[in-house]
Amino acid sequence: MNKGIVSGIKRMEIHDGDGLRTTVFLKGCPLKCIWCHNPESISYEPEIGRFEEKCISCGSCVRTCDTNAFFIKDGIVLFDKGKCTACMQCEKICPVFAIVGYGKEYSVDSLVEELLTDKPFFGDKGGITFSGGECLTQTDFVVKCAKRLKEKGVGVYIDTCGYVKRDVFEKIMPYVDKFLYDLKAIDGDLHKRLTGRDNAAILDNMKFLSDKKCAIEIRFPLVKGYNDGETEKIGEFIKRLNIGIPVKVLRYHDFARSRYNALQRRDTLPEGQTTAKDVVDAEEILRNMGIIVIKDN
Amino acid sequence: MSNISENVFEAKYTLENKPLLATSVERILILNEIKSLFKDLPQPLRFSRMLSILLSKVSTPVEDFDLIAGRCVDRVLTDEEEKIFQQFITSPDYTTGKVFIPSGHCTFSWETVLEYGLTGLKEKADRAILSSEDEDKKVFLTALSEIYKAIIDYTLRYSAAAKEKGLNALAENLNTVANGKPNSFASALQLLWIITLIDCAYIAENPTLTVGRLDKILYSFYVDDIKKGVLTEEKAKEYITDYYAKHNLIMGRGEHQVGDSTNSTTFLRICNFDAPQYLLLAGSDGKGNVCINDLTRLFAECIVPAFKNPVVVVRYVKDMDKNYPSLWKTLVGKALKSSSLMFYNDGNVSSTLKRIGLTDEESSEYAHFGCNWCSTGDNGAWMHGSPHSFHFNAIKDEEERKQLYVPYMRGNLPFSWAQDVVEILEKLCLKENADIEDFYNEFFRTMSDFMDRKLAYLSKELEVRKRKPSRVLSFTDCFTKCSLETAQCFSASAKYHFENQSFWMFGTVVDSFTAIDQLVFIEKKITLKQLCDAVKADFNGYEDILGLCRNAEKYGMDTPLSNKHAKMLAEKASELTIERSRPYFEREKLFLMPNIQSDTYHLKWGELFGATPDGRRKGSAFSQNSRPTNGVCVNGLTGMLNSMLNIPSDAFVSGALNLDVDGKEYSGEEGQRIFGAILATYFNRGGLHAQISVTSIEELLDAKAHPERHRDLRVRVTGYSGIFVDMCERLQNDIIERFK
Repeated sequence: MNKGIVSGIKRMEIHDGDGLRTTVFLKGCPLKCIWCHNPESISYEPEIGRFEEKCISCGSCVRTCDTNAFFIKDGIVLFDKGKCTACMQCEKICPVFAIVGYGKEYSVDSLVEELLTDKPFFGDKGGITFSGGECLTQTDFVVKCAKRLKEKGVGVYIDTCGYVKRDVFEKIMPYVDKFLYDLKAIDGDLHKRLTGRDNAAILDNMKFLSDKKCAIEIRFPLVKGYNDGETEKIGEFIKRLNIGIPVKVLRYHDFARSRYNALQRRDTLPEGQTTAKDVVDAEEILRNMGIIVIKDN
Repeated sequence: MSNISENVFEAKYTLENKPLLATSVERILILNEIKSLFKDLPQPLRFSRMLSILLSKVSTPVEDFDLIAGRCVDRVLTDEEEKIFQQFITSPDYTTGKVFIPSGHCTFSWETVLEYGLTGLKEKADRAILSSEDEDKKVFLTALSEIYKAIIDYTLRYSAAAKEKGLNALAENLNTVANGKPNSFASALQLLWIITLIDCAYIAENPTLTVGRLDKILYSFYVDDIKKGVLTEEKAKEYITDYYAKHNLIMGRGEHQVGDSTNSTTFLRICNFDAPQYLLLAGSDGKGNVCINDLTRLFAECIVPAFKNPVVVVRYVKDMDKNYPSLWKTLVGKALKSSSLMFYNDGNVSSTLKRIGLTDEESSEYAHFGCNWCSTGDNGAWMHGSPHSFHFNAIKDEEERKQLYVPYMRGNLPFSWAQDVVEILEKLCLKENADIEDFYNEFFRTMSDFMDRKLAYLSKELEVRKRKPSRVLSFTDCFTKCSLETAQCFSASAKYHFENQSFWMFGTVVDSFTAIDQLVFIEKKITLKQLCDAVKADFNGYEDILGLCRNAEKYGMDTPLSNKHAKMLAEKASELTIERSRPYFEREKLFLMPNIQSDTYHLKWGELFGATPDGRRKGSAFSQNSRPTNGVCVNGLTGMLNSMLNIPSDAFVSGALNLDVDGKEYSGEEGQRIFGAILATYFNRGGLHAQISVTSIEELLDAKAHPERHRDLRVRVTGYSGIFVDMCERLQNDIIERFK
């Protein structure tokens, strides 16, 4: 596949791996994590997010929309997502930036060119992180991009949930400097309740990468009241892997709530917040188990 | 508590608690008493005698922990004193600008000061008096001599005060300074501070002077003292820290450019609002040698994040991060905690000055002073603004001045490049087959005409000054080589004369060109006529066009079209500035200094002007300085910096870039390393300037709601940093927008 669907590119990223990075978010994810903070990357298709609170009902989008997805009722602009073909014309005309298009099509060439823009800033440690959604679901595209970036001397990290077939990892491995690998829960039933999927393949793939001595950073998104009971189990699992695989505990936040609304997607975000202390406590548990813990920047 | 911590504590406490209208109160009371004296004397002598009396009467406060002496009584006037002040400033006997010339934004010859000392300078003046036959010159030189004597006497009084306190080492340093050349690091620093204090507290209404390349000019004193064993690195740091602390004792808290919280007498009162002194570090010399030494490091290490002054200007030399990693780490660490540190790309400034025509050596001895203005060091005189604000106006005829001033204005409004784009739009929408080239041609024809008129005015002003050499004496003349050598004021006798040529609202202009090119000529979504109608109507009824304009590519997004226009506009504007100046430079060493500096006029002028093709509505702020328009940098900091790297590296000598960062993002060792790498990459690739504010939207909003909790929150405004809670609301809002 020479084309990829990208929900966004974030330059100047310092949380998605080492050094200064550009993170590219690819669209589509096989999991449906209830706390997902990138809801715009869940669907595989391009889509429009409409931030109602910003809208001034000027009607520009109504006038530009060919499918009547936008319409006016009682002086207020409304959006029928079912009619939207994601042509993105409305995004380009909204004077108050209330409409955001998620899902731009890129060729390998065009994406690599854009990703190389910040190369002078990457230094020794930085580079590109492919994230999502689950970036590896667009396997061929990501493999081609990663290969090209490696040829250009840029480090590549893959941020993955692990829920892909084994051969996907085999294909991408030669071009990856580090995997940022999410572990959400060890308990299979719990994992399924929280993400909609069983975790057997995820754990197997993790072990596979570990056996292959790939550089890995495990990421444990801590959602208080949901998976904090898994901390020790995750520690046990890591201990059974190759020595020296570090873990970073990520703090759950609900910053994405407005995007759920904008995308007209059912808001599954937990109400409670994970505190800094919750993270420190989890880190302490893991550290006491002999696990290497990396602090988030 | 050691000496240093007490000094730092005092300065920090003073800065956080000083009332807005606090001033050096003795100056007002003493000058009021003597305002009728010496009325028959020419200005230089009247100035020198009044200053002599003033310096003989003001207090000489000393604290037990002072390592460097020099304070003033700084408080709010009582009601009675306020009445005296109001009468004083309107008194026909004493009108400011006539006796005490309110110097500011100037570069003293600090090396000369250290070379000769006060007594040496006095001797030079006295010798010149004997050899001069011109009466006017004698008067000028006599006044200079009297001022040196007044400073010497003031220093001796300070010495006595120090001795009385039992501070013998301090008293001895002061004696040295009063009686001869400085002979140690401590006495040299003491001399610099005494002169700075007198200028900032008692004379200049908005000093913002450069205190020089201290790591370069004090280095021999430092090395000698270390060799002699009379100074250690730690002791030198104590002196430097005290020198820094003293600067903050005289600094005010208010906001002078936009601030509505103070009254119109701010300058006359000398509140030292936003009057930063710029201290320069690092850089190169005229032969390309890097001037980084142990003192560079010590001055950097001593920066106190809580201080507002002096502003340390780091002259970044290529690969400074790699060649001086430890110094670079220190500077980045300080920059992330302080708002009194900025970086200029040494190569850019020197290259631009060389393009103008300065020699290699002169180009390397430039200085910056508040607010981010560049000068040709002590070789030149800034002609300082338009006729109405120029303190040394040689053209006396009001009518003539008015005539000459007209080209500076657009009716009753100042000249605005952004407004030019709109007028060109109006003109070209009537032309068949107009293209983007036509816009460029028209724009630069207008700019060229403006520069020609401006240069003609400045040339006339200079001609009058030189034909009838001015004997008006300012404090700056006491410490400027050319004044002493020619016995006339530096504004006539300096080798170079320059006036700033600012590419105001650069980002707004780039965005307007980009929007026109993209929407009309490339994508053909609208016609010139439609765009023109929409802009003239402030986009009312043209929401679709407003949306298109706002969604067009912008300078700061790092997109090909906006980058192309940024490059072309910057390149051509700089080229034109230098080209139009050329005949004047060759004839009389007069030129326009190209920069991208707008201070806070992006707000004031934004309020005056109508809509622009980039989608900016009437009355909204323009872009500030060299920075993109607020809110457009959707590709993050690196996207913004990449955009700015399209400005050629030998095009401008100044242009403030406010880098606003959330401190949490760059906390810890790794965060600092990353930020340092970003900055260094930017400068190594030819970036011009960066000044950093570290806070967050949350903190700014909380400060707005609860000012009492954030008395010490400093944010870079333009060439100065302001105390956020003392700013007026529109400036606060603008800063909050910046952080978004």
